[in-house]
This record gives sequence, structure tokens and C-alpha cells, in this order.
Amino acid sequence: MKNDFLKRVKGALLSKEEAKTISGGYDHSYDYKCFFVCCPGGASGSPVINVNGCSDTRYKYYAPQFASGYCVDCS
Amino acid sequence: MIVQSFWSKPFLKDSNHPNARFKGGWLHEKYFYYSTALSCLKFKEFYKEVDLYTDSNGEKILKTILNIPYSNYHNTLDPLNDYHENLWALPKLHTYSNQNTPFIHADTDVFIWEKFSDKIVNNPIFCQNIEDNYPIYGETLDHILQILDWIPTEIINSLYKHKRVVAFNAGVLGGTDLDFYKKLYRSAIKMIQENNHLFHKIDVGMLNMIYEQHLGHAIADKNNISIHPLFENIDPKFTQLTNFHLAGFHTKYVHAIGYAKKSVYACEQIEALLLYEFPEYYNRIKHNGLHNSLWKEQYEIKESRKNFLLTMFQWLRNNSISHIYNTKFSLNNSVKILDEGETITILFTKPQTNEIEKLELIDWDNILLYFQEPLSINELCNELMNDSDISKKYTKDKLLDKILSFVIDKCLIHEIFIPENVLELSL
Repeated sequence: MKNDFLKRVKGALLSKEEAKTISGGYDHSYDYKCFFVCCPGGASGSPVINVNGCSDTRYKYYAPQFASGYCVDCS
Repeated sequence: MIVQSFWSKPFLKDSNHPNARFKGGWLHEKYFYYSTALSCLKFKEFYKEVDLYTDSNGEKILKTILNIPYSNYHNTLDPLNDYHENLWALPKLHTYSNQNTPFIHADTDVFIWEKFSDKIVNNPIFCQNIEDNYPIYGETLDHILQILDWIPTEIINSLYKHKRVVAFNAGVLGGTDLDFYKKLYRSAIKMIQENNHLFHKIDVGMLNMIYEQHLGHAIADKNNISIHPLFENIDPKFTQLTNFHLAGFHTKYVHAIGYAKKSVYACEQIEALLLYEFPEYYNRIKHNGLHNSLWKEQYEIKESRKNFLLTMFQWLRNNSISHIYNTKFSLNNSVKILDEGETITILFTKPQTNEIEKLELIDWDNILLYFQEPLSINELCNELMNDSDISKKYTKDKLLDKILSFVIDKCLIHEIFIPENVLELSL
């Protein structure tokens, strides 16, 4: 019986954090994975659409100076 | 000196927007009052002076009606009333800039059970924690940099220097460098005034973290002023700082940050903690609030639930951690386990509403299965440490800490676990 319990819980103990009932964080209206800094006009590079699976279809340029590696064409 | 601040304009402005601060951002307005009272009283246990900076409405409500026992009330925030109501961090910056001696500003949703380290708070700038590239900043900058006319140079410098967004969390903020806080206020005011005509195009509430926490970090960075955090390696959900279930006996600092204010569980804990630690203040504030129609009765804690919580608070605080580790817990009699092969679900009575809740056991929740027979946290850890992979990942102390958090969460918040020979205690 206890071996069955261990099988069910071991993976989580090794790879996941406990999901606590109460957590916090900033209220926000946007999808986290759809973050791209807006570049000034004239940013160069190959356009990439829907990076990270976002539904935002604006062109995103490779921009290694930003954490996401991409930025959004403001125009 | 502890200082806190309350600007009534966003609190009173009706809005459903998640980034507004109607009702202070709380599930119900009464929790703002209970939280403010609990925060003030907990800080007063460790610091001689706890002052509130507020406006005329705030003074009337918090001082005259509720009589929350701040050392001094300062009516300084009325001049901000022409600013947009969603600029709820502006009164904080105003308050920082008004200080003439080293200070600690604490939000009214921060609660402490020990004094802060002098080594940290006696620095030019200290904060709750550093926020290193939390996604929300990027989203916000992505949104607003396209639209605003004027961005402080320090923000641009910081983005190019770090190649990511770095900020500090101002749940608790202060220090000895008063000039820095005056400069931060001036720069934030300029950013607001220069872009005021564009506010209809942006989510103004999202701007707060930029002109307070990101700009503050950027100005300090540009001027080579070190920022000393009280806590390291805090994740964007602040899980290390929202441990209400461990408050007072294992965790000495709790911050009901962001959407924790909307959690019925967090709100219940705040009300119960005020009742347990300061019963006279709780009863007086509740009476005065209801009598003066500051709020209507809602989300009341049932008597049986109050007794459970107060008994548990007493037991957790009056016993050593090793005693708690060695106490046997078992599933509440009302818990039912539904084993459907791969899927195991439990049914339990949610103590906040008395409704039956269903919980599918996923990941850590499968630990519940071990407690079909009475078992202590220590016994469970010994059992788990027999597994070589688990004993490689965890030390015994680390695993004890994790299992303690899991068990007390399911006990205190949900009454799924019941400790043996505890509820018979009379208060």
C-alpha cells in the first residue's frame, strides 16, 4: 500500500514545489508568456511571429538586449 | 520609526478593474480594516512608534471611527486628490519623501512576528526583496513604452545595463538615504505629469510598479547606491512570503501581496489572527465598523470554525516544533476518498462555507493518502527518506520543513487533517 502512495507522490517530491493554498503576486491582465518589449522604430532582424505560442501577431524582432530575446515592432 | 500610508481616493472609487484599488484591492472592505489594524498592532509590538500618513477621509475612518491605535496620524495626502485614483503607489512615494529621519515604510498588508535585522534596515536603502525580471514588468513596459511620451532616463539606462527588468519590492521599504526618496518622488511626479494626457490609453494601475519599484531601483543603480533586501530568491508568486498557515510560530513575516487579498483563505486568516492576538481591538473595530455602516456583515467566520482556528493557533504557538513534528495527524472523519483507479479524489467539507468540496489528488496532494492511519510528520519523513532518490534531493530537516507546511496548510486552512489530542484543549 505504502509503495503505491510513494509511486503517486515521488515524482512531485522530486520535481515540483508544494502547491500552497495561498499565494500572491501581481494582479495583471496579460498572459505572462506574451511579454515582449516594444522596440523603437527601425529595429532590424528577422521577424518571428507567435513566439512562445502567443496569439499576438505583431512582428517580433530578435533583440538579445531584452530578457525575452525578442521585441515587438511598435509601428 | 515605522510609517504606513493610506490614500482613500482609490479605496473609495468603485471599480472592478484588477489593477485599481477599490476596497484596497481586498475581497471585502472589512478585510482592509482588519489587515490595517493587525499590521499596525504587530509592528507596535516590536517598534515604539508606528505612524500613519493619510488624508482627511482616512483620518476620519481609521482614527475617529475605528480608532486604530497608530502612534500619530499625519493628514498629508489631501493634496494628491487631483491625481488619477489608480496611482495608488503615489501616496507611498509622497510619504517616503516627507521623512526627515531614517524610516521603515510598511504596507498595511504586511505582518511581522519579529523585528527586522538592524544590519539590513540601517542601510541607505533596503527593501522587501529584489524582483529580478518578473514577467509582469516586461508585459507592462511592452504595453506602456509604446504610448508614453516621457520615460525617466534611469529606466532606459537600467534596461540597457541589465538587459532585463530589475526592480525592488516595496512591501517594506526605507533606509537612511532620505535624498534618494525625495529624488524618487520628484522623478515619479514628472513621469506622471508628462504622460497624464495619455492615461486614457493605458492601464494606469500597471504604472505603479514602474514609477515606484522599477524607477526606484533604476535611480539607485544609476547613483551606485546598494539596495539591501530583507529576503532573497523570492519567486513571482511570493510563495515564501504568503505562508499564513505558518504565521507566528514558523514564519515571522507575511505579506498579503496582490491577489492574496482576493483569497477567501488569506482574508479569513487575517481576521482570525486579529481575533486571536488582539481580541479587544477586533471586537471594537468590528462593532464600530458595522455600527457606522463601513461594511455589512458578510463572510462571517462560524463559531465552530473560530474555535478550531483559535485552538490551533494556541497549540502551534505553545509547543516546540519538535512536538509538532511528533504529533500524529489523521484525516478528518468527514473526508471521503474516492479511488477510481488512476484518479483518486477526496471529498471534504470546506470549513469556510460548509459546502462539500472535491479535490483530485495531483502531485503533492497524494501525501494525503498516507494519513488514512494516524501519522506524524516525523514518521512520514522517515518513511520517505528510505527512498534513495528522495534522500538525495532532501536533507531530513528540509523535508520536515516541506511536510510541515503541507500538513499545516491542509489542517489550518481546510480542516482536512486533524491533530490528535489537540482539539480537546479548552481555550
